[in-house]
Amino acid sequence: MESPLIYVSVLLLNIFEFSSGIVYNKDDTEKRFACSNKGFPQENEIIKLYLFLENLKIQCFFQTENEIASKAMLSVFTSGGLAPSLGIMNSTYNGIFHFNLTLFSDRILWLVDIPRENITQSTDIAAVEEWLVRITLHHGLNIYATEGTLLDVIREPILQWTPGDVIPESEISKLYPHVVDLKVTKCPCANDVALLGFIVDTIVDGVYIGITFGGFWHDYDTTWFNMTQTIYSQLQEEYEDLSLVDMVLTNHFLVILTSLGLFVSEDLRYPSRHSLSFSRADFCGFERVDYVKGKLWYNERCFANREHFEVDYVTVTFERNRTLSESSSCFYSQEPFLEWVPCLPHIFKGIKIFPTVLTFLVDQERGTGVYLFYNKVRKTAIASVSTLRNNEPNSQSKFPIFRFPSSFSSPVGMVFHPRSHFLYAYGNQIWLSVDGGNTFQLIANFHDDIIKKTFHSFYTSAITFVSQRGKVYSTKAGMGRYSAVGSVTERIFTLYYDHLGFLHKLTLGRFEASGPPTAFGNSRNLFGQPPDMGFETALAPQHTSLDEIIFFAYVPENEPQETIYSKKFGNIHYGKVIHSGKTGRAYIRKVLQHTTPKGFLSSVIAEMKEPFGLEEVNESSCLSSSLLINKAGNVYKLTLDSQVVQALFEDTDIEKTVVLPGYSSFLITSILDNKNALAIATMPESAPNNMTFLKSTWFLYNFGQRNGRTWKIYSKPCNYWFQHDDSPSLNIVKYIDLGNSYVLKAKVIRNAKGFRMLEIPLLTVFVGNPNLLEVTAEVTFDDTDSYVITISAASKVLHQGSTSLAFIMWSASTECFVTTMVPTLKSSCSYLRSMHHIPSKFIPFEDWISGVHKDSQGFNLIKTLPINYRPPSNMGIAIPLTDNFYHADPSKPIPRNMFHMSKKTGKFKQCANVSTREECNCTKDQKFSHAVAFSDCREKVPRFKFPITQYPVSLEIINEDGRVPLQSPYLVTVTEVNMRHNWKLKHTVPENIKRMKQLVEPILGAAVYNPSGLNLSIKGSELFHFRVTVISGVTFCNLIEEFQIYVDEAPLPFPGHTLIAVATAVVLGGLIFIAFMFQLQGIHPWRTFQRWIRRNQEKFSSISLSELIHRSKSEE
Amino acid sequence: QLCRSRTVRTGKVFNLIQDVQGDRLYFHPTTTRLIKHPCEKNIALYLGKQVFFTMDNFETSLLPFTIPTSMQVGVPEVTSAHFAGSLLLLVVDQKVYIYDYENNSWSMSLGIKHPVTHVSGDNCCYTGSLFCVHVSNLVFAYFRGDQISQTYIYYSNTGGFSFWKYHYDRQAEIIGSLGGIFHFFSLSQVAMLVVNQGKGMFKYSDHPLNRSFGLSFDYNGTLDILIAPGQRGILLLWFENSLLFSHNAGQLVDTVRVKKGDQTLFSSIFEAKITIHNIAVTENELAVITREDNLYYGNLGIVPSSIIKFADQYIWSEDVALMFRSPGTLEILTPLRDTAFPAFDFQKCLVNIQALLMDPELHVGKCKIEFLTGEFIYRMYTIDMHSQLELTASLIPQPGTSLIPLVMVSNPHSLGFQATFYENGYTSDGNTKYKLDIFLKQQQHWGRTDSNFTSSLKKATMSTLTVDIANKEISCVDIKPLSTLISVGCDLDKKIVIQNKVSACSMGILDPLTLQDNYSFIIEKEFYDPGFQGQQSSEDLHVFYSYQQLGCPLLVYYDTLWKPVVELWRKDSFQEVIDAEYVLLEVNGQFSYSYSLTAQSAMCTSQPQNWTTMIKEFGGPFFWNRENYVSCHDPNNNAPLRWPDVQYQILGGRTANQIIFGHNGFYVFYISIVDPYYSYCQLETIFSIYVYGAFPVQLVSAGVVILLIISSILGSVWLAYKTPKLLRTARGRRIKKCATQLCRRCKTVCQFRASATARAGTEPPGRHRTPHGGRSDH
Repeated sequence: MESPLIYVSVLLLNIFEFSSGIVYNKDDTEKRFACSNKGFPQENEIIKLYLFLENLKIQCFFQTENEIASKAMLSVFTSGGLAPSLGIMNSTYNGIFHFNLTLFSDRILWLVDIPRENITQSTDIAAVEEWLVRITLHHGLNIYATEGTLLDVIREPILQWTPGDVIPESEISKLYPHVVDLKVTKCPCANDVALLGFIVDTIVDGVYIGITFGGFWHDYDTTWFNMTQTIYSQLQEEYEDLSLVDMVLTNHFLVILTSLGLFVSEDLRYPSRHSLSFSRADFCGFERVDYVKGKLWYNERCFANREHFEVDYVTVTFERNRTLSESSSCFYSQEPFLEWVPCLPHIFKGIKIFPTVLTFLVDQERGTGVYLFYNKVRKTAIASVSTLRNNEPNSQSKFPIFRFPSSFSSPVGMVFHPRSHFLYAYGNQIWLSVDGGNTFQLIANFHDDIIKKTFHSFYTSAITFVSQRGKVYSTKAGMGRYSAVGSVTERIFTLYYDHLGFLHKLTLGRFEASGPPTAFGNSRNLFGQPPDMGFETALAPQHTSLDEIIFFAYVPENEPQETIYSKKFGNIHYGKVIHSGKTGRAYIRKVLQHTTPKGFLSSVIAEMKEPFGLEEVNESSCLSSSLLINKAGNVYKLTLDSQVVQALFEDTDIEKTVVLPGYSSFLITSILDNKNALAIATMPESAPNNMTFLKSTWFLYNFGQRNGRTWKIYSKPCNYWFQHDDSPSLNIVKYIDLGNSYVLKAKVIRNAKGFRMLEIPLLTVFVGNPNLLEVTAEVTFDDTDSYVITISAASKVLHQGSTSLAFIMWSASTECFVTTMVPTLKSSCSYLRSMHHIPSKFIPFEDWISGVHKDSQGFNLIKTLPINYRPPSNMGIAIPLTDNFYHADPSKPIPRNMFHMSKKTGKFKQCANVSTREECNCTKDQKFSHAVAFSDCREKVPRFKFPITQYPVSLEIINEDGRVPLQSPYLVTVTEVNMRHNWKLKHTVPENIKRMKQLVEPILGAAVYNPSGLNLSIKGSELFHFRVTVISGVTFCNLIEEFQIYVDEAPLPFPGHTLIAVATAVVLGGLIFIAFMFQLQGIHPWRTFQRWIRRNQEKFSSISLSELIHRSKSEE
Repeated sequence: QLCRSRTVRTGKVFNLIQDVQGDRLYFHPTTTRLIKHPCEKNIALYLGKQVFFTMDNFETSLLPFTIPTSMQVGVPEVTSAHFAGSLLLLVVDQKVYIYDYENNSWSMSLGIKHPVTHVSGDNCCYTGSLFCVHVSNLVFAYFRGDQISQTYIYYSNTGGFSFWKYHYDRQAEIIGSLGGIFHFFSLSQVAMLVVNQGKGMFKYSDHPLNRSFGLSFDYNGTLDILIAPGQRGILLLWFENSLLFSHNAGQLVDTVRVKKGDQTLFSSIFEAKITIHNIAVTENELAVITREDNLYYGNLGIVPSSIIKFADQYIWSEDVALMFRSPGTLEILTPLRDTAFPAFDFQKCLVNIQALLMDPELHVGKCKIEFLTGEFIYRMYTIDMHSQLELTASLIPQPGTSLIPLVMVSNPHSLGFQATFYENGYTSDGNTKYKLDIFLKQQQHWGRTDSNFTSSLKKATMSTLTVDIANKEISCVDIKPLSTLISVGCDLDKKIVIQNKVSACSMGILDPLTLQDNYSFIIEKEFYDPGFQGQQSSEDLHVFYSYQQLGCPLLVYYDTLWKPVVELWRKDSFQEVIDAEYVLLEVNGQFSYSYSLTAQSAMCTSQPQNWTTMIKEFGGPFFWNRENYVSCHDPNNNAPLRWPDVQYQILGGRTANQIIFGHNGFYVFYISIVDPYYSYCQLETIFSIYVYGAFPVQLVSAGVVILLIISSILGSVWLAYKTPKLLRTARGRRIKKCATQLCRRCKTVCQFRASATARAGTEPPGRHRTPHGGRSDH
């Protein structure tokens, strides 16, 4: 209960150390640190750290050319008082730890030792995000910042299991000849934890997987398992030809599709001693042939600090026409994947020729299911969205069905980019939907090549598409542009993005990574040299202004219809650079498709960065003459001056372009004779007719391809810096409670001067679920023409959920490290949000331990409770009636246990069924927790003098951003845990609160108080234990706080002392007064009494005398 | 083309031949040195075949520098020279001579009994700082190359006038010869260069660096050591074929590389096979001239230092020397002998470094810094105990580039910092401005160090803060690193004041006018001891009360336990009430006060110090201060608590000790804050108090007095009861009658007497009663 508090305070302490945002895409920051957990860190390696139960020890050194220089740099920094600092962050947490300064004669490395508790308190197994670590010199300055990861090995679910028999790598390599494909699935929260599965042919059978905890960087971080026996044990009969088909690792389960069925693991969070067991999901009527063609679909999302609305869904589709006996060829299930239901709602069943379901994905942000259908007969694909109601898709589609054009003839699948709301449909084209499947836009067209696999990195937003032919294309999430990056030559391979977004190529027996070891340089390309994205045709340049140029792509007249696309500019060229074979380059700004002029079916508008090289006279002799242009039907005839003998048209001049300033350009298509050539105009409207251009007033460009293509298209270097304030992480998760709001700020900085300024937004924002939160964006250009965007999100409805927000720098090059930032906003209660009671007198922690904290009067403010203490009840001090023990020790006698009722009540909680206090295992946190759940552990409570009047009950809310006092509308109810009375609360009730109170009180059936200015008065004695609860409906959080007050030095419950004292005083005073009055009045009771006595005596004696006389007389 | 030469030739128009008087000094026949005064630009000393001393930057023809014959030097060979403030120290013939150039006077320094060859020292150019004067005054004199175990090292704290023998800790155990001894103020350490078997290393005097030597380096030849100005801890060690460099006052010494563009050609001078003739150093620049007639230039940055070669030009001669005129302007100086005149002319060649670096063949990158400044440059700061300092610097990079600013301190063992770098607006041409906030406090309070990394918190130290750009190009000639001097020590503006809210004057007990009028008071001989030992003196002491100094005394009622309220003031503003430990001493030696606690009741774990022992130990009163105070609660203090009943004489701090007065009158107290962790300052003052309300000394014991009073009361009660009763008896009546008669008679007598008195009027009236009362007894 108390542990979150400590966690929060650690967190808060660290938050304030960050002062400025980090600028991404700056290319010149050198990565200089090499760090490791154990031993001497290796140079040029990605920093991979692992957190175990013990302290996290990290050694770092500064990488330079050689070892001596790196020692020298360490000493220079140390003697300058500089040591690096380590930032540990994930989407909700960031902490800063400093490497200590050490005399460099003592040590040649920097070392830091962080107790595990300072990073995380929990040790339970759960889906936890892998941390990002950033080591920088000079904390805060982001100098030599080097990134790495930190994995909590103790909590990562899959790492706690052995899913089969461990086998050595040598045995795995025996399989290689029989492997037909590889499958990788990674842990949604920690991408460095991944499973590699082998799909084997029918000769060998079995399920073989490798589990890595270090992102396949090294051989030693992968363990190989033979799961064949584990799978077979689930099958009643002996089957043959077992092979892996597909697998998905969700947050808490492992789902494996094999040729013999679909197997679902037990919950990975609760490991037992035996190895991982699976259960088989039954699909009636499906057999091996179907399973082999099956596919699993999963929307990858990390559910760290999971909330009730966060559930994993997995879909399985089979490539088979539905027969009458089968309900569907697509099934989906939610955690724990025991019940698989058909994807299609019942109503669809009636339709006769219904298209097959290629993919069904659950959009968790909007609570919908997205279908990708394919009609094999008509070869058309459609997308449809249905709202999920009670986990069943509604038969009515949410939006009108989206029909893809017929060019999207072979769709393969659909995938959500992890942790975001970008939906990609792929096949022979790539389509992107940013609105959850309502509409799609075309990103890429591959015509007859088909994209078979996609790979995603949530961290860098990078996406890689691999086609049937082994071509590799890459883009960034949400971007409208993409580029070709090369091709894969291996037959059997798969790709994999690790947690830091480094792409790995996994082939049989060989893992290649794109990151270092090439040290400080750029990352290595896994797919050969960056390919030229040009195509085989000639270009005709046309200047439109000084720095703007249009390139027309020439399509020869005789080009067959099917291959026309290969002579046209396409989407891929958008945002690329055209390089000339000579000099010059231009950035492509726009791609245009058109039907006129004839011969030019596409063009690009480009921004000239460097002028293009012209043809010289020695290359084209025609330039030494003037030029006459005549229209000849659709084409133009170019004629040279016959007087100039040396000026001739030659064969090499074909596909060169005549450029006339102020007029249309002409692409020479054929040479008629030495002096005449035919050409086509780029802009027939502005083409000159029957005009002569003198020598040197016309120019010739060569963008032809006849003698080898003279132009090339490559990716553009990164052109924007991206700055994100307030947070060091790109994938933050922010919680927005009811009535709260959050502001996000980002900035786009152009990184070079003389860049063309755009008036249109540089940044587009998409909201995953616009209905959840009120999101408004405000954009401005600042003094340096940087583009600043401020997004504010406020809670809107009493509905919990999460939505992703995406910032896309749409005009950034795909070469940029960051083009997209995807923060997640949750309309929910943050796990860091809690309510706290501020004690009226602060007592330092050391004093709590010692148990003595005296105020100025020497009154000890800490009461150490007696062992097995129970607070008194209304029936009397000695008759406790509560179930709660304090300072429990089962080995000691229980005091105040005389009465039957007291004996009946009182139950140990933490100490139940143990014999001594030690066995209760009370932690320090539990001992100092106010929570009633830990009352057994509680030893010391704050002590106050009787009576308590006007004790201020001040409460505050602690969240990520700091502390705020609790005030309306957070009204509270207050109860005494041990059902004691004799206390009273006083609070101010303004008019608005009065109404709220009247509204809420009948519903709750309890008194509701205004938390500001709440005062407590206690008339009783001994321990009071209060619980304050914030009423529901004002926050998503369950805000409860408890506090204790021990009232001491109370007077006796029976006012005997006072009564006796008063009575005595009254009696004494009365006596004195009477005596005085008697004296005054001259009454002397003593004398009277004496006299009376004397008289009596006399009387008596007389009587006796007479009697005596009488008696004697009678005797006589 | 490096530069164009010009010749300085002045004063030679008239045929006036000046004579060279005295012994002509010389340095070395083949090499030269040029020593510039670190603080005064135009003062320099040229050492070569001749020695020249200039006060105008060699802008006049000069006669060779001589030493008066009266100084009687044997061989006038100068081996070392050093500017200490306005003094020029020269080692001539193994003795140290002082030339005061302001007064043009020579003297010989005192105290040196053994031959020395070198003097070393540093200069601090922050004028008006007491600390800086101290820096300039500290000079070492030593014999270079002598075996350390038996050599004699001298130091002076008077700027070289008088020297004392310097005791280096365990000097006799150090094996090797002495390469030099220096006071590195940047590190607050004295460091000795130990040369042993071709390796040199620095040995430091104080914790935490005294445990081991600095890293060793190759020591070839006899290295000259130059401390770059600015107290940044930059050292240059050089010889003909060796040029070494240290950032951190010798802890790590590295070779200077020879580069071309980004490429390192040679990793040391030795590899480059060049022979250095002369070098010049400023705070961040380095120029080297070689025998091969090449000029090299480098800057002293954070990254390993390097030099680049400029185009060749014939400039070298045996007499040539280099000096920096200003940042980026190098002067090549050659003295020219004049056959007709004894005064030498000077050939000067001014090199504009910035212009030379523009040469594309040098492949020097463009400077990425547009602007770098901080408001703290050329200022000195003080950080006292627990105080903090915030400095800011601003930085503008060239558009589209990013800089790596590094903040460093020269002495991280005592000064720690945290820096933050952030965007802070834009310039008018749209360039982004950056700001660097540096937050400094004592390293011991950051908690980011190993326990043995920090120096003693008690000791005052100093450190230099430098802000430099790590990825600075050599072309950034005009962009100097920002640096400032920070003294972790006493803030001289601090003082203590005793709160005087209730003074004897304001309560009307004493009259300020009387006090100001040469007021004096007497301390009776029983109450004071001039020796502060608590012995009674033989005669009373007349003390003059200095109202000027003490003001009106604080009023203290005798019966209360008292301790002063000590306030800390900085300049004229109140800071806080001091809660640290302090001690009081009555300046006249009065001992009629005591302390409320004893060593035991103050919970001492060891024997506390007291005035008696302190006076004995330090030979006088008023020497108890933060330097010598040892707390009796200190767990490291191992003096056993032998006398637990002695008075605990330390007030303040964690104990509730107070003073008990036993006697009325004036007390003048000396107060000294002894807590070493309160401030680096020696906080002390004198104040006076006036104690009143004490009874005069009792002669009879209280019991007797009480008994007497009670018995007299009882007696009178008995009389009051008995008299009326007695009067009723016959005897009583007689007495009554007798008394009435007596009364009547008295009356007459009285009347008579009264009239008589009226006549005489001399007799005191008090006398009347006695006979009257006496007679009434009858």
